[in-house]
Amino acid sequence: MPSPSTRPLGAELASLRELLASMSELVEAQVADAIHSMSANDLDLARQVRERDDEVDRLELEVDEHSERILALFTPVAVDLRLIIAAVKVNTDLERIGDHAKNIAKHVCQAEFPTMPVTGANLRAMADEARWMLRSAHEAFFRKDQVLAREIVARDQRVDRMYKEMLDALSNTGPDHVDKIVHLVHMGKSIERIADHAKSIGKIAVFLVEGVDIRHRSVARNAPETA
Amino acid sequence: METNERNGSPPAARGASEGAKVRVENLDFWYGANHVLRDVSLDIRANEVTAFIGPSGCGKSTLLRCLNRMNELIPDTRLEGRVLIDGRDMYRNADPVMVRRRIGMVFQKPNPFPKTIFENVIWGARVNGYKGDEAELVERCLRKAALWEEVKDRLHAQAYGLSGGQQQRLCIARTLAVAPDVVLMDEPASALDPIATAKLEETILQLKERYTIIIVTHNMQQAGRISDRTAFFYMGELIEADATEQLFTRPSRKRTEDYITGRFG
Repeated sequence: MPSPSTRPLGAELASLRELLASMSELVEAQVADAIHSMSANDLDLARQVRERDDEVDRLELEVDEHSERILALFTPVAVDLRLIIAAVKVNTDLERIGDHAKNIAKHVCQAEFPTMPVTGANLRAMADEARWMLRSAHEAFFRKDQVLAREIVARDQRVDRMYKEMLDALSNTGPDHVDKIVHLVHMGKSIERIADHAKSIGKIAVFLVEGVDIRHRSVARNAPETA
Repeated sequence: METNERNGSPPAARGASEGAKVRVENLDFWYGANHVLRDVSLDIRANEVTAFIGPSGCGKSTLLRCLNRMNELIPDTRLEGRVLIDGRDMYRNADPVMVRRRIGMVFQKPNPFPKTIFENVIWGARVNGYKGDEAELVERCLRKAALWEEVKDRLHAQAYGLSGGQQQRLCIARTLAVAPDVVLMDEPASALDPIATAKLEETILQLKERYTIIIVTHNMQQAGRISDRTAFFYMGELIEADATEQLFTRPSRKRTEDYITGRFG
């Protein structure tokens, strides 16, 4: 029987992981650049983010095709099967994160004025938090670190709270800034959604490592007590 | 008690439980000095398909043959432990012929007799003194084996004229004709093409309504498709036995996972 390093399925799975890691790193870079373009009102950088989204979409198709191929040819089971399922799900989350990065960049371009000083709410801190979650989701998934993965899941509440605080702050802003507020709300929502997708990747990392699905706890069958 | 390698809990379904159709208790078996089964305890539930999997030489076929005392036919063998069917010990105060009638067997390669289809099915029943309506019994068994529609117009043709898959289903019909409770199958689809395999698997799933079926297979996907429970053996030991879905998605033993994912060896 082939050893782990030489078995054909092992090579295919390694290739899938590499592809997904490339996708994850590209999406992280997109988010970082989108946030930076927002903070610095860098329209050139915002345009680059929008253009690079095609690359994210291309990688999404590639990960899905590779996963489908492995399922069809190797009928994996157990931990190998979980990796394929997880890869397909993470792939979807990453692509959506890429869309949100593009969306932030779009609003930076459309606003045509510095957006950050308008609000007293801490949009930058919220973005930092979302970026930490995304980076940690990458590490949790690829290092199979379920402790970190659960920490990400818990951390999302902080972003949700910051987003709510931002909306409260904006609602107290005078009518003179309506145009700016619209853009800020969209960008804030995108950051909040990026954090949601990072949380989703954290849950998938738990599934990958432990074989336990911690989504939808109220309706899940055999939900573990400590998940 | 042995514990789960991953979470410290007891491994699934190792010990005996109430209501088993077949119970194997602390079974050891030797071919001469070769100790091929080691302290195997396992319960097989009625009206389920149980698959035995494991690498070549792990003891799964030996265990299968222990269940109906086929290994007794091999010289210089020794068995310790118990095999019970419905609570009755198959090795103590039991007639081997009765045991093999209650526990039928289908082999890896289809092995019809050089006789007609009809004679193949009725043969075992006649030997066991069947005095009923032979035509009715043959039809009933061929229907159960999902072969009737394909052979009803040529019952008196030679069995060798059937395809491999049909021959294997004929062997199943022949086994059913002596009214067993349990049907053992030793890699029954290994010589069949995918279409014949699919038909055989369909037949097995239909049979479990009336029979308890134990199948040895090297085909992981086949075990996944047709069995309710799966037992994994390695070097004569039962490593893990559990619901098939559980074993193929979240095996509790690392060694099982390594085997079913091909990391083993």
